[in-house]
Amino acid sequence: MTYLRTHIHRSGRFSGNEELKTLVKLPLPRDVPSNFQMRLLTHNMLSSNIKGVANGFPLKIEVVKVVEKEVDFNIDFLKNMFHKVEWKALAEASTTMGYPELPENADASMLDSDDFLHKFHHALLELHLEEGALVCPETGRKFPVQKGIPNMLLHEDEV
Amino acid sequence: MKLKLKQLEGLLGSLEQFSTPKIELEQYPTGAHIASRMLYTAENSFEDVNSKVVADFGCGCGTLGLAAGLLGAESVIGLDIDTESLEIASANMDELELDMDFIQCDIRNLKRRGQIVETVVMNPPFGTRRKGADMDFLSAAMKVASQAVYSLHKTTTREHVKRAALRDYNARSAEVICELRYDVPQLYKFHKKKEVDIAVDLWRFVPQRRQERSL
Repeated sequence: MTYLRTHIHRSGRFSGNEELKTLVKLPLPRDVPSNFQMRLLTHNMLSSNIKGVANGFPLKIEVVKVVEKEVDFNIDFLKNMFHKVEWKALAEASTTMGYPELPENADASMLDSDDFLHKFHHALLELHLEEGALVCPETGRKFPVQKGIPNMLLHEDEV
Repeated sequence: MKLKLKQLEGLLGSLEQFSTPKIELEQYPTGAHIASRMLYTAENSFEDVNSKVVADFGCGCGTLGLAAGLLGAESVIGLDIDTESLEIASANMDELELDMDFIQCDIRNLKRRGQIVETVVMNPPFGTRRKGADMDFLSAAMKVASQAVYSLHKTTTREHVKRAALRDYNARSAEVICELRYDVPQLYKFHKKKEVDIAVDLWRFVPQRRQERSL
């Protein structure tokens, strides 16, 4: 039996070879980082939904822990998303997350630049807030982010 | 390589489901049979999945969102109010070696934000415990999706759903793609029969383009 390409998957298990996968099923080590993730793509669509808040966007980010995960580069997707994201919010969030590489303003002509596309890709899809909080820009109310899941649930008096 | 329907159904069939479902949230698992057909149709008949941003509203154990991931969605976001559901969904995500973002929230309180999400898929509560829960989900989904909403509703509510979608939720079109049998296993004590199946419609709603909106 030959194993051509195997690697430890981020979940701690082997992958890359079906045969191997069925043979070796390792139990998950306890200290494996969670696979939950909150990317800036998700941040870009979230706003503070507290009753009475008029301008709940963009949520400020409080960083405790950021992780980076590699994602396949898809140029068509990026070009499509460029027209849908709120650029300023993305650029600011990216800076807060420790990646100050996006220009403050961007226009569609920049999509011709490979360098720009890769930076956009990295900020939008590869930076993950694992621990921290999202903060309502109007009221300062914090929505905790734990194990990569933003908790946007409201208290009774906020609905 | 394109996934075949049978392969998709097989992969979804291995997923973990609710261990202690909560009746107040009307947690019923979305079976592999229905989930695979729903997403397979969305992709192969309408091209609403591959390379798209897909959100799974009330994702529960994540079956629909993960089906979207298997069919090549660029990004999948699962939304649910329940912590345990999100944990199971995450375990299922690991099992299939996919990536998915999660947001813990009450679907009813979502505010529309931008046009990032293209397709929403959901198996909403049918509103048998809390009247109107299904319509709350539909209303929210129509605000968030820029391209299409796929949802399951009891066949007995067909006229009502159509009217509400077109009149109240800004749908440009609302069509029943097919009628399915939804197997409801005996999950809760109040279920007298071992298993019943009910008729449900698989809907596809198309929201108005943003510019056309009168919001």
